[in-house]
Amino acid sequence: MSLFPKVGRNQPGLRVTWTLVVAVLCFGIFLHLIPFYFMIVTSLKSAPEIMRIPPTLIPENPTFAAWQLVFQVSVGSTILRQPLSQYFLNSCLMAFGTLALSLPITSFAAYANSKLQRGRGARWTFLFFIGTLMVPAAVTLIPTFLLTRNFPFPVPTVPNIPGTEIEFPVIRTWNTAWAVIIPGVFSAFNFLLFKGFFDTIPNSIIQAARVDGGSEFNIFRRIVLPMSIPVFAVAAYLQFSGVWDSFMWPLLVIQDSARSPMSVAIYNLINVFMSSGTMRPQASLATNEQIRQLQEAGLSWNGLVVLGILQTIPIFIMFIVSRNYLLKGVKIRGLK
Amino acid sequence: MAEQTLAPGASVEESQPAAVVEVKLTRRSRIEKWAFLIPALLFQLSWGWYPLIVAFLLSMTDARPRGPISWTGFQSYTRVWADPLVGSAFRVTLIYAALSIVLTFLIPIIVAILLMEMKPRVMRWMMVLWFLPLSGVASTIMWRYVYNTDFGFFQWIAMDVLGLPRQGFLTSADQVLFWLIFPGILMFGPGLIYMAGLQSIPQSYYEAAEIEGAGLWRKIWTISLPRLRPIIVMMLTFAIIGSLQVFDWPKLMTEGGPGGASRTVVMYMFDLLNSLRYSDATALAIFLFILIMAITITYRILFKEDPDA
Amino acid sequence: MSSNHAGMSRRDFLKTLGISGAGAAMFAAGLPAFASKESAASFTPRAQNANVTLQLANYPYTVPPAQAPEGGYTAQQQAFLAWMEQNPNVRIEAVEAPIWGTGELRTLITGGTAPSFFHPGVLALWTIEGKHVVFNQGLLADLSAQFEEFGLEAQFSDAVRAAAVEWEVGGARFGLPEGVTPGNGIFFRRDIFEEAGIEPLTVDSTWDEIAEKALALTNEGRLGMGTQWWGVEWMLASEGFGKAGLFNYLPTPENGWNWRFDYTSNPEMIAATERYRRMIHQDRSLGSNYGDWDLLGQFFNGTMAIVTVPLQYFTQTDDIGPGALAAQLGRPLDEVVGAIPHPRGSNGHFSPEGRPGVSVFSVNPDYDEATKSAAVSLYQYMALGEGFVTQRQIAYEQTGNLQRVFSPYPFVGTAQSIEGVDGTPVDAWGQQYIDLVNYATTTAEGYPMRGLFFPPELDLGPTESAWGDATSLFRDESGDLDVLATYQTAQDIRNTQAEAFSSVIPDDQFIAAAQAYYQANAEYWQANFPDFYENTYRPWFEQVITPRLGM
Repeated sequence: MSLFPKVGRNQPGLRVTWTLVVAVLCFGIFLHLIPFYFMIVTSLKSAPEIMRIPPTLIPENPTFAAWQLVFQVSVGSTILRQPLSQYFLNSCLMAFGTLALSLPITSFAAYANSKLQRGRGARWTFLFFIGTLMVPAAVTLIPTFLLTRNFPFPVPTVPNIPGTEIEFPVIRTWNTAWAVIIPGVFSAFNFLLFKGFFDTIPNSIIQAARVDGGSEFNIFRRIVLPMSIPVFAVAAYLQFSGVWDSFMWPLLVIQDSARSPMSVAIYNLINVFMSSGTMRPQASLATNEQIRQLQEAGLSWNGLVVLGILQTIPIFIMFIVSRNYLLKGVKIRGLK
Repeated sequence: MAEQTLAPGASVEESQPAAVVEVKLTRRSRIEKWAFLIPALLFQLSWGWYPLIVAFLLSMTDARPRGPISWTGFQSYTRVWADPLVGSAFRVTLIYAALSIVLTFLIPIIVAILLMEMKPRVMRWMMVLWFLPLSGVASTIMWRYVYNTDFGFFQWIAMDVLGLPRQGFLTSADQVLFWLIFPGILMFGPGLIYMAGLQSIPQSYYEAAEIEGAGLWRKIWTISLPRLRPIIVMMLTFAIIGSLQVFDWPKLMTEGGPGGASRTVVMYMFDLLNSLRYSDATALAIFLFILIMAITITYRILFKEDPDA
Repeated sequence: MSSNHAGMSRRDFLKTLGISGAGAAMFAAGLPAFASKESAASFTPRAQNANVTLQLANYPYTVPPAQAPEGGYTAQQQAFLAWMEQNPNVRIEAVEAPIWGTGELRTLITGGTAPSFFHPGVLALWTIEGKHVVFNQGLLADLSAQFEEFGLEAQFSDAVRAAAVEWEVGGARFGLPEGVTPGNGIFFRRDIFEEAGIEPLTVDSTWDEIAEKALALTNEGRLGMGTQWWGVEWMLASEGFGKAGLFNYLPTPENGWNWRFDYTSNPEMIAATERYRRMIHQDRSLGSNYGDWDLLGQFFNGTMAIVTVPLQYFTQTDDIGPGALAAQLGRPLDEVVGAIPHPRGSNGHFSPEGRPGVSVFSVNPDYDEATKSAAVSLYQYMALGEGFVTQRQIAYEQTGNLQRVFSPYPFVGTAQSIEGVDGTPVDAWGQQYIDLVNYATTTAEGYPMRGLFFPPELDLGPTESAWGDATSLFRDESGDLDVLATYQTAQDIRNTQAEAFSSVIPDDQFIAAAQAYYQANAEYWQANFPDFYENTYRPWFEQVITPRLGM
C-alpha cells in the first residue's frame, strides 16, 4: 500500500520482492492454520483413533459424535451445572464489565503519563504503573484473594475496631463478578500499549488544541480518541480474550456455579482430564474417579477439543469485530 | 476527515503570546492531569502494589497458611540465595530471555509492515488468518507431536529429508532453549499492535519519500520504523519483563528438563510453592523483581523516548 | 444459586426422580427398602441434630442437580440423594473450586473458603510424608473423633488397613480412603506375546527378563514397553532405591534437618539406571514419556505390548480399559490382558510400590465437630455403607454387566459381594487379577513404611527438583551420560538444600523412631524375604546405619 511504489510495479526486481513477500506471508498463514486443522480433525475422530501414534492426518471414520455429545452434555447433566447460556452471560458480564472500566481508566492514565507529565514525575509514575508486571502473579495470589474477602484487610477474619465489638467495615467482592472485574481494572499491559501509541502522537497537535483553550478531557475525546481507534480496538480485543480465557482466578473467587464464567465450566473438564496420568500413581488414583465420571458421559479428547473450539468462538468473534475498527485508522497526521 | 475530528475553529490564535499560553495551560491541566491519573493510581495501589507489599511482608515470616505466623526475618532470602538450583534457574532465564528477544521480537514488526502492503481485501483476510486466536491446549499438543523424537515431524525432516543423524530437540540439554523459542518466531507475536500503530502513519510521508526516490528498505528504515518507535519501545519493555518471567510454555513442553536445562526462575518458584514454601517462593520472586527492575531501568535510560515525538 | 436439596420434601424428591426416566423409576421402587434400613444403621450421626452445610466441588461425588438430567441421575447420584433424604439437616451445596492445584487449594484454605473435601496429595507433592507434614501444618481436619464415632476402621478392607500410613499419623486420622490399588504393576498383551512366541510374564519376572522381552516385542509399529515420564523410578524402586528410597535416605540426627541423601554408594542403582537408558536409547524398546491415560490408549491400540500402571486400572470400565480391549477382540479377558505386580529386585527386595496403595480425601480444617461428622457420615454411606451397595445394584440392573459392579475393584470396605448381584469379582475380572489383589495384601502385611514410625515434620524439606533433573537426563539424554556423576550432582544439590532446613523433632525422639523403624525393617525382611535380609539389608544396616544412629 505504501512501501511499494504505485508506478513501475512491473520492474523485475520489484516483482521478485513482491512475490517473495506474498510467499512468506502465505507460508506463515499455512503454519498458523495447522493447529486449527488439527483441532477440527481431532474433534471428528473416534476415541481410539485419537490415541493412534503417529496421528492420522485425515480421520478414518469422521464422526460428529463428540459434537453431539458436548451439546447433549450441555443440555443438562452433572458435568455442567448450569445451562451454557448462563455461563455465557456470566462471561460476557465479566469481560465487558472489565472493558467498560478498564479501557477508560487505563487509557486516561497512559495519556496523562504520555502527554501531561514530564521529567522525573513521568518516569516514576511509569514505573509505578508497570512495576507490578515484574512480579509473577502467583506470589500475589494469596494476598489478592484475601483482599476479595475483606478489602482492605488481607486476612481471613476482619479485626474489630479497637475498643469495640464492632468489625471494621470492609468491602467484600468474593463470589461476585466484581472479584474478577476489579483486580483487572488497571491493566499494566494495556497501559504500555496505550502509552506507546500516545507517544507517537505529535505534541504539536495537542498543543494546537490547547492553545484554543480546549480542556484536556475535550482534547482527549475530540482529538486523541478518534486517532486512537485502532489501538483501542487492539487493547479491547486482547483484554477481552484475556478475561474470557482466564479460569484460575474466577475459579478461586467465584464459588457459585450460577455466577461462574464459561471458561471455568470448560477448563474444569479439560484440567481434570489433562492432569490425569501426568502425576504419580497416588494422583492418578484420585483423579481416576473424576475421569470415570467424564468417561461415563462419553467424554474424551475429541469432546475436549470441541469444548476448546466452543471456548474460542467468542474470542474469534471479538477478533473479527475489533479488526474492523483496527483497520479504520484515521490518517490524521498529515494535516500539519 | 481532519476537519471533522478537530474541534471547529481549532486553529492557533496568533494574537496570544506563546509564553502566557504555556503558563495558563499548565495551571489548568495540572488539575486535569491528576483527574486522569487518580483512578488508575488508586486501582494500581490497592490491587497492584498493596498485595505485593503484603506478599513481601509475608516473605519475612514462615507464612504458615493457618495458625500463628512467626517472624523469621531474612531467613527465606538466605535459604533461597544458598540454593544451588536458584543460580542455574537465573542463568536459564537470562539466556531464554535474550534468545527469545533476539529471535522473535523483530519478526512481528516486519510481518505487520508487510501485511499492510497487501490490497485491502487481501489484507483483511490475511490478517484474520495470521492472527487467529489459538487455543493453548491445541498448540501444545501439536508442538509436542512436532518435536517428538521418535515419530515427530521435525525428526522426519532431520533424518529423512536432510539426512542428519538423530536429533534431540527438546530432549537435548544444549538445544532445548532454542527449540522452545522456535515456535514463537512465526507464531504468537504481537503483530496486531504494530498494525494498529502503522495505521496512523500518513500516506503522504511515503509519497514524499517516493518522489525523493527512496526504495523499499529505505522507506521501512526512515518512515515505518521511526514512526513505530514509541510502540516498539513499549513492546520491548513488555517483552523483557515477560520473557524474564516465562514459565507456562516451557512447563507444558519440557517440565524444565532435561536436567533443569529449561527450568526458569518462575518455574522454580512454582516448585517452591508446590512444596508449600510460600515465603521462600516470594523471596525468589523478589530477587527476580530486583533483576527485572534493574534491567528495565537500564533499558529506559539507554532508550529514551523519542524527544520530538 | 447452589443446588440445595435439604429442603426438598419426599414428594418433590420422588417427582424429580419420576422425570428422570427408567433408572429412577426402579430406584423409587427401592426407596421403602432404604427407609426400613435406616433403623438398622449402626450409628446415629450427630449431623442429624445439627444444621450444617457441606460444599462439594465435584469431588469426591457429584452433587445431584435439582433437576434430573436427561439421561437420569447416575447410580452414584441416586445414592447421594438417598443420603440427603436421610439427613435433611445437612445442606449440600455444589461449588466451583480449584482443588487440584497446589497453590490454589492452599489459597482457598488460607482464605477459609475450601470446599468440604479435597485430596491431601495435592498439597503434599503426592507423598505420604508430605501428607503428614500438611496435616501437621493444620491444613487437614483431624477426623479421629469421627473414625471413632462411625467405627470406620472395622469397616475397612485388609488392604486399606495394611496401608494405614496413608490416612493416619501419630495416632490421628486425617484421610478417608476412597480407592485402593493392589499396588503398582505391569499389564502385558498376552495375545501379542503369544503371536510373537514369547513366554508370558510372571510374578517372578525380573526387570532384566522384562527388558529382554520388550526388545523382542519391539517392531516397526510397536514399542515393546511404555512407562511414565518418571519411568526410571519403577526400576529403582524394585531394588529399594529412589529419591527417598530405603538405601538412599539416611538419618543424620546430628544435623538440623535429620535426613541426608545418598545416590552414589550403590552400584546396583547405577546398573538399574543404565539398563533403563539402554532400553530407551539403544534398544529403542521403551517409551518413557507418557501419562497413564496415553499408556492405556497405546496398550489398547496394540502399539505397546507392556505398560506400567497402577494395577487398579485393570478394572477400568471405559472404552480403552482392559475389559473394553477384550470385548473388542472378542476373547476372554484372561487371554488378552496379563497383569503382574511390581517386579521384585535382583537382590530379592520387595518394593513399596508393590504394596496396596490407598487414595484418600481429607476434610476442610475449619469445620467444627458436627460438620466433620456430617462429612464423614456422607463418606461412610457412599464408600462403605448402604449407598455403596445401592450404587452397584443400580449399575447391575442398568447394564447387567458384572464389570460395572466391581469397578473399581478392590473395594475400600470389607464387602466382597453385593446383595442382589449374581456374580463375584472373579467372574468379572478373572482369577489372575484376584490373585494379584491377594498377593499385594498379604505381602505388604507388616511392611515398615517410614511414615508410620517418624513424627511429622513442619517442612517438606528440599524440593524434588534436583532428583527430577537427574531422572529427566536419564530419560532424555541420548548421547553419553555419566550416570554416577549425574547422581552425584543431584545428591550434592539436595544435601546442600537440606542444610537450610531444621527439624521440629527433638533428636532423642528422632533416634528412637529411627531405631524402631530399622528394627521393624529387619523383622519384616527376615520373616518375608530372608535372602534379601542376609545378603543385602543386614550388611548395609551394619555398615551405614549403625554408625549414624550410634546403635
